[in-house]
Amino acid sequence: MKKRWTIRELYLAFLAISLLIFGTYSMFFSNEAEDYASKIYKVNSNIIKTEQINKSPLTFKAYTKDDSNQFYFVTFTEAVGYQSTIEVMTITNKEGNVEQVEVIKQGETPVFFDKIESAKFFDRFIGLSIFEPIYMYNAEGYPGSSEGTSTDNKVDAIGGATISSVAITKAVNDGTVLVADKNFDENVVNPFYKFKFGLNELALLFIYIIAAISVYIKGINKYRKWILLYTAIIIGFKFNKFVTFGMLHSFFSGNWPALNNISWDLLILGTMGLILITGKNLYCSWVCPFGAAQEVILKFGGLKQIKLNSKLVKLFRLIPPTLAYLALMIVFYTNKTQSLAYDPFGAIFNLTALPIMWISLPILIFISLFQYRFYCTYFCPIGLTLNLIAKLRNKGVKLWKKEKVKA
Amino acid sequence: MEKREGKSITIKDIILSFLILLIMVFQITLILQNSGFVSY
Repeated sequence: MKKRWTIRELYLAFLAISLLIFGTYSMFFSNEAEDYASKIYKVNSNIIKTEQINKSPLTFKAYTKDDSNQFYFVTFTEAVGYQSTIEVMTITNKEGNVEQVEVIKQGETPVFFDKIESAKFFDRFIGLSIFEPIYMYNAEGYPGSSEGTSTDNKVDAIGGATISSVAITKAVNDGTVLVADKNFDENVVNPFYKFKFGLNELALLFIYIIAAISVYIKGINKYRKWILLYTAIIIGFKFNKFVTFGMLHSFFSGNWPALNNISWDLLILGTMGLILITGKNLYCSWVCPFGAAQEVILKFGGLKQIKLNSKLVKLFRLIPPTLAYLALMIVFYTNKTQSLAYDPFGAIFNLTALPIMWISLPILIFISLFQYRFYCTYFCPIGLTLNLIAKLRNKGVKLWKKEKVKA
Repeated sequence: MEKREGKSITIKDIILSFLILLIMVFQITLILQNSGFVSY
């Protein structure tokens, strides 16, 4: 008998197909050739001539109009920040000091990036030497942190936007290290590529091990309440580690950070690895601190669950794909990833959000008192994506096994 | 999961549905604000 499609299935198929078409189009066909030289003229009106001296990372020699002997080195480098790739332009003078740092492209959550701009973070690089690494102050546990190094060549991270600050500083170092090496014959080691396994990576690794064990040892569920409390407090409030929609977008569009970003490796590669191995979305059930917080509120609150009518549940389950569709379409159209940051994680764990999120958050927490994982069920784009991947993985494995039996 | 079989819609369903739709509107506003289409 021929299977008839329901309206629900048709709607979801429409979302998926149009996303696929527009995603492919924006990835392969709408890439305008970027004119980097013009960006240099734009930020420094004193420059009259540029000459490309290196391809990767892109480096220019830029000559000024006031003094024919004066020139700058300009590098274009990038690093993965909180939820996007940040492109940085670094201008160095011929004495080996940083003259100017500008971010030319980024897709960080606007409220976080506003903090960096209003604190004039880029000005903190001016005058620093390129003959030694530029370290990050007030960023304990992050690669490139100045802890344990006595140096004045450092910039102060912006509180509440540490990940973006670290990414910008890493990108600046990528540029200055190259200029020092190629033009001054000074070998500087970029500290942002050193592997650092600190307490927060350990805390994260611990919960991933628990998640993996839970598949094989069911008895662990007896302690679920306490493990989730650990996830919410330690992973969420203490270390602010969670997967964002922007991170997943970076992963799928191939913008991966350096491998020494162990938190990113664990959160993204660990999550994907667990799905591929076990066929289960263990991130949502054990690692996500917001999911854990909601479940903890329900479990410790002890209130009776209110059950929503099943027809309404089915209808409202269309909200996550619809929201994700809207956000992704905007990304494909504008080429900026800011619209992906509509989750409440930054608000609850970093205490940074737009007013509208501050209004939503108490409602979300209140309903969690008598609804099982309210946000996860009706809004979360991360759960939606990971469940989809798990589904595809399981379908693939099933098909593969079928073929094997046939053969 | 928190499904309940049955055809009748109760007052609890109406309140909860209202809150879900409210948060949905907030989420859409947030997406538009973050992308710069709507100012904040």
